[in-house]
Amino acid sequence: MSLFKAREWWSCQVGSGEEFDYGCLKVGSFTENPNNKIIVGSHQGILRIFNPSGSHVDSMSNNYASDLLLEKNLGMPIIQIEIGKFVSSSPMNQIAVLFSHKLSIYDYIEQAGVTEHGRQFDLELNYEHNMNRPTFNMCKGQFGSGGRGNKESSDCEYICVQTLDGVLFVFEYERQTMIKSLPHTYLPGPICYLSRSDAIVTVSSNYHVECYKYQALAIASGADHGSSSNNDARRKGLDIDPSLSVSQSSKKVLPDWSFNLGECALGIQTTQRIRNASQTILVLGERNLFCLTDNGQLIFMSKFEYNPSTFVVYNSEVSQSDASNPSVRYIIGTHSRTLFIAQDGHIRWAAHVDSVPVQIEVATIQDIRGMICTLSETGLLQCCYLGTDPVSTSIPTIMSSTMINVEEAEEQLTKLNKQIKQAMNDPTLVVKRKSNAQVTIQIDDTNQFSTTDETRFQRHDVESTVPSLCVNIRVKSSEAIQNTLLTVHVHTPLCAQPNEIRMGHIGGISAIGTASIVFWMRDDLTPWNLEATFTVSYNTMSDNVCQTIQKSYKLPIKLVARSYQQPISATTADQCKITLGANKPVADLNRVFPELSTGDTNQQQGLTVRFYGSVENVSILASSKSQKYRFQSDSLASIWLFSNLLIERLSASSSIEFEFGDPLPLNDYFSIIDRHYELRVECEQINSTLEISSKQFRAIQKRLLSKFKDKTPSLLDNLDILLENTNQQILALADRYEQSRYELNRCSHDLSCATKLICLLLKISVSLSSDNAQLLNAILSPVTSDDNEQGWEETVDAAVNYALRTVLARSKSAELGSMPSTIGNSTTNMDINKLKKRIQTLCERLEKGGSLVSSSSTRETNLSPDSAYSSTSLSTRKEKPIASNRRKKDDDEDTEIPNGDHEDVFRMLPSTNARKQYNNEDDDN
Amino acid sequence: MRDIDPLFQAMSYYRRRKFEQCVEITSTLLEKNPNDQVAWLLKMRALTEQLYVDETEVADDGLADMLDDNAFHQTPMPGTSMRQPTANTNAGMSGPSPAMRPTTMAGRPITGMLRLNTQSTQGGKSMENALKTARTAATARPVTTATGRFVRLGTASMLSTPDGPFLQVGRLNLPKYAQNQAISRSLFEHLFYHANDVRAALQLATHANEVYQNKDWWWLAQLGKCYHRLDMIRDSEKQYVISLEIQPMVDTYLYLSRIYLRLDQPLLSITKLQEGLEKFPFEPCLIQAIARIHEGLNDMTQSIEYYRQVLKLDNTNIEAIACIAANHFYNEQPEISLKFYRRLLQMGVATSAIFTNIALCCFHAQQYDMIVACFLKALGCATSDDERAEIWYNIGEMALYTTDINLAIQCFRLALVHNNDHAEAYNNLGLVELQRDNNEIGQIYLQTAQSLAPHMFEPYYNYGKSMYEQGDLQSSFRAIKSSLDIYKNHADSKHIYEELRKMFSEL
Repeated sequence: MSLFKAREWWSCQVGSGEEFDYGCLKVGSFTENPNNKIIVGSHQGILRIFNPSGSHVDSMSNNYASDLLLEKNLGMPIIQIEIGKFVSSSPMNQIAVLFSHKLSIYDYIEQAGVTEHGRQFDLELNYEHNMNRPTFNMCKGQFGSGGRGNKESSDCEYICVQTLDGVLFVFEYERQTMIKSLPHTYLPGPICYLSRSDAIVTVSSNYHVECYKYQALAIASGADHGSSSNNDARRKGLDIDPSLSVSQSSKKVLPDWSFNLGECALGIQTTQRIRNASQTILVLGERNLFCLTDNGQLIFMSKFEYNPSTFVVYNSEVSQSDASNPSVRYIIGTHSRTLFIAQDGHIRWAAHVDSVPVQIEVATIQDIRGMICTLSETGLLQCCYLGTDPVSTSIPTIMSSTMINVEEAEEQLTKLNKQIKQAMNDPTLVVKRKSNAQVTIQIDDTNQFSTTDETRFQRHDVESTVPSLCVNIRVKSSEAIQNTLLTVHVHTPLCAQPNEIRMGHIGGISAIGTASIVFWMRDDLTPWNLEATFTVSYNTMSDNVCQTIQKSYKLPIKLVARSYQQPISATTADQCKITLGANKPVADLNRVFPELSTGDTNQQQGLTVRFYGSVENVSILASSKSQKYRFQSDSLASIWLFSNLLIERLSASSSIEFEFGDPLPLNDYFSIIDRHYELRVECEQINSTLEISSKQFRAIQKRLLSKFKDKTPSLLDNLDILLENTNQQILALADRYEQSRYELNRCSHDLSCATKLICLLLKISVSLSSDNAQLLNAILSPVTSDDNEQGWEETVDAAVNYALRTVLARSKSAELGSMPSTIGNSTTNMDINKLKKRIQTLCERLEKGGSLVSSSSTRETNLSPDSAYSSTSLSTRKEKPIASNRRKKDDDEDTEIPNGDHEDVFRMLPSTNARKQYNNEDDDN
Repeated sequence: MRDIDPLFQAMSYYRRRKFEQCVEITSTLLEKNPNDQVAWLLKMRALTEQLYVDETEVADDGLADMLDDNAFHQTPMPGTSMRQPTANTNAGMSGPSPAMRPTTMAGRPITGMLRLNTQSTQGGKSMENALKTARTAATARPVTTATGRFVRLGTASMLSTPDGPFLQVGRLNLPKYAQNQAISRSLFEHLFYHANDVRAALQLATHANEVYQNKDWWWLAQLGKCYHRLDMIRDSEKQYVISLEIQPMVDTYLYLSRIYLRLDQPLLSITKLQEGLEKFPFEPCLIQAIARIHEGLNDMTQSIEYYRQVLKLDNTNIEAIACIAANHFYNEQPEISLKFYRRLLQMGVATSAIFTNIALCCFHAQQYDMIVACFLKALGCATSDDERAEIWYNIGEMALYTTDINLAIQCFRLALVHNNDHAEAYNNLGLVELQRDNNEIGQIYLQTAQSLAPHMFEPYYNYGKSMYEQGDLQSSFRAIKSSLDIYKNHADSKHIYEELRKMFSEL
């Protein structure tokens, strides 16, 4: 970044489609004329000589025809150009052109014509050296002068060419005097001649600046023209003609001195030599600039914050006259298109240029000293000087600066403000507009079952091919809606694929979003709910309020169960039997469950089915004599779905009433609760063990780490074995945890089913009203969540407890504000027996005619235990064997509560007395 | 006409930093002749150069670094550590108070230029604080681990060579390569920067150091770099010191100073940099590094002094200009600050931030005619939503100064549209709502601001004040206490605090 631009004095585009790199630009003069000419050679082999005449006339038209003195196609890629006295006989300067395989020296011939336009320029080949290998770069110098270079010997300049494989060729005019390969050269570096010590300075591939005395090189190049040694190692297999190989001496040349740069170099240059003052070497690295004395000591370095492309060291008269204070001046060109003009370590000026320069030269043109010539890789040749033109950065123009009509703008502003205010203050504005969109979900059951085996059944003894059902969904909207998302939710053993469909934009009245969803049973768990819920969320176009609609759909039972031909021998193994009485003659089960019927009509009234992935049978028997339906199964859980379905289907066709006279199967139910609770405790225990062992694992890791980090190596103290063991333990625990979780999941499903069944039976047996049934369902919730800290037991306990204390309370103490203390306790602390007892009490109280609907709480329920007993409506009531004595105790306690409390006016606020009472009771329990 | 030699062409492309073409040519050369070591070397260098990162600038301490106990003292003396720059976090700060100059999430005065590490916690906070910092889009939470960025660099290298990695690092015979001086250095850089395999690089460096008998400063510095990357701080320090004994280099001084910063020894770090300055008196990088450390130590006057020195050596240094400008702005000298920002603009740094800053300077320097134009330009330049949010927030501030409440509300809302985590906007919006007697809405805004920016004392103070006025003394007391925790010397907070205390003691 620079404040100013380099001011362009003259520029032209050299060629088109030609490439240029470092070395392609040279500035110099051939005669005594102090004005410099610019010589440019391209990689395409075209040499051009320019003599810029000034900008004032031609730059407008970009006409540089008269400035271009010569353009010549030399037929070979030009790599580097030098100007110097390369011919011993001539006092004039010659041009040395380094081609890719050749070095040629040209004379510059200028024939004056009659007029200015009649001048002729030409290049005449003086001599050339062919080379058998690709060249890389060259430098000129008075090689062999031994550093005593005086005025007279400076007339002669020799050329040193470096080839691509690091071999130096020195040519003294027409004669080739030396061939020497530099050691360890992989990629040749830049070279330059150091006249004071008569040496060649280069940067080798190992990031060292190396200085080779010419004397040492010349001696080492010596006599033997043996076989090349190090080339072959480097470019093995490349078919170099062995005859081409250079003379290599057996002994290696050692550098006079070397300096470790630590990075590769882009260029190397020296300051001009003034008498016997020491020279300074400047090396342009990729990230730093190094300044060295001519004996290899670092004077200064400066770090770049940019990527340099090229640099040039130039000498001004000031430094020449004042040799005692040698300051070095240079210009660095960067890839960020900036020229930095620097003296020693200071950046004196920064100027912006239009392109990335590949080479910079400082020239005297038209008697203007210090003109900066830059060449870009595409051939943009510029002569610039430093000025104070600001950099023209493109600042975005926002709007045309036309005059704004103040009145109009004000009017518009007030209008907009009004609108904004309206929108912000009027909440109805948002609400009113949304109600237009009518979104409906239509479900088309194709009733087409196919089979799938994408199941995750864990019991391997059952076949895993289950039917799947494809359901088509259509989402209709009366108005355009967007961001429509359809989500499908089913209860776990079932699954839906895909369960989330992005419909995006549904536009217009006729447009319909459709989707087809496949349902099947994935896990071998007892299904407890066949309902699938479709939820569509969408935004209307008018506002961004998200809205949802829901629709549920009952999936056919065929997805989860199939009929099973029961072997006769196994009939009696069923443990659970539920018998439902009905007030109508029994229906044909094959008609009630057509999808499960075996088609075997002559069979007696009975049906045996199995869930997929299960080996348990569920048989449904209908006894026409006693008008009873009987369900038999190994477990309580499996019965639920069928009993519910049967009741639903029979009730749908006719008004039928069922009765359930047997005692509730609470024993079976409690065993399921027990099992569920045990599993939960087990999971928690495994979890805590896992936590402990992973803590141990981390501790061992930390120990090991500090041992490894320690300076003095010490024994591991078998910590590695311990680490391994702990790891295995963790893995084993994790496996066990997974298994327990699976079991827990199974059990949860069983529990859900059983809970629902109990609720159903309770409802039938005491014929609860639908309000009551709903409340009962909420209290004895079938929803089990094992992921929370608070599991099913806690929530149900709390709910049951609450119900017992409020609506079902024997005495109207109305402890509404108290919360059961079970919440917040950890799983292991829970008293599962208390829960069971409470559930039982709940059932009993309901059987005794208690009502859950809160209005009933005002009813007279102040019954003595005995009268409650006698008031039960059903004749088949028997005393339950479980916990009967405990129930007695419970009843006793209940009677202890003073009855007068229910006359309290402020029933909602628990009196201190009541609270104390409650606490006592809880403690006793 | 003979064609140009392909190897020469490749080297030319390399010079001109056209690395892709260079890799292409060298790849064809290698296809022709798999044993061409020169082409292999050049390709390796080109691939390395594509992904080169200046190691002296890498930063962002990860969360893992915070767990490290590299720091000398857990409870350092005031002023000697980045953790606790001064005894009293605010009182000893030479420079403007947080009331005048906003702080970063790490509790440091906001700096003039965004660079690596200014956003992170700079090791200046304890672990708990770092974890507590609000998680917004531009969070001050450290990157989870230091390797995050390096892993990404590694994957970047996979991208650049779609046919799989150029080198099979595992198969390299490192001791053999270490013998070869020319190849080993490039190979090391390739392993370190491109393949991102620090372990292999470390092995190579160790072998090479055996070959050179620990006499080569470059290899020692590289060894130090490897140790540094592997978090073996003390080993790294040793290598750097030996390397500097052999050959002083600017980069090595910078590496060493970074090491001492990791050890939480900023003063030692400055000493080392000053040693470097004795060797290289004209090196702006070293001075800049000192200035940054002083800034980290909350020593603004020193920091600015060093930034001025940088400018004397290199007057195009953007960071120095920006930092000095920011300092002048917060020191109530907007006219001078304006000059610096204008210079940045003239240098071609035409970003939205500069325009916004110029607009703010103009406002405070009472050159009202420029403000609207500058803000328009800033909005035009803005490329990201975050920038737009900041601009709209500042416009809203201007609107507040001109008491155009409606415009202010609209601006703050726009700021929140662009960046929903803009705590300052929430704070100001809350204040405006409080003034319009929408107490509940205002308090909600203030609470949002509190949760988004726990480093700002303003939302706490405002909340406390509003609660005080409404008579909810308990909440007010709590909020005022938090405000004083963040900024000890806030006079208004102290005032309310004292009054509340008096009241409570009377009870």
